[in-house]
Amino acid sequence: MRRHEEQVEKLGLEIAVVTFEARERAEEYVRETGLRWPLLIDRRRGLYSAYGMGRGRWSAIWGPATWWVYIQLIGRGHRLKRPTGDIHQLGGDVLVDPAGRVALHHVGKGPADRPAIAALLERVRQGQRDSR
Amino acid sequence: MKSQVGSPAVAFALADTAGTVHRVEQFRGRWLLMVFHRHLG
Repeated sequence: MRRHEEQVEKLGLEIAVVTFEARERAEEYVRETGLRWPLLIDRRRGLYSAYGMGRGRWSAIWGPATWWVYIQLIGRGHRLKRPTGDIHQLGGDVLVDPAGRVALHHVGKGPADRPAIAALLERVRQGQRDSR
Repeated sequence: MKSQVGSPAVAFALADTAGTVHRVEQFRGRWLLMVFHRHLG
């Protein structure tokens, strides 16, 4: 997403990142990554649960798609660390339109399962065209 | 889990790392993408 910041800003798209981890870890993450968007802390996972993001199966968490993502990260120079936190908690993406309705709702089956950024941005563009 | 496309966004009031509370209502009138992290690594 951060590689598309310019397009995000041009579209006027607001982004809120959500984590279930403790505040200290979240603060550390913001310092480590320079995250520019708000990192909301959902310790009780109420919002995760409301959007159907429960716990993933071991095979989805550690399957070939996950290893491919890690290989790509290493190829881009990232240093991988031993994962901490609840690695079975699923993530996802929810796009909300200006009227407050869910326009896209994706629950990831594993770490590699995310909608393409281009598709998300195009959905916003389409919504903006439709509202004219 | 049934897709929630078309449904009203779930209400929330969550603090960010700076302690500022964010609510879904504050984003009305704009597109909002919520990116739910798995673990932070």
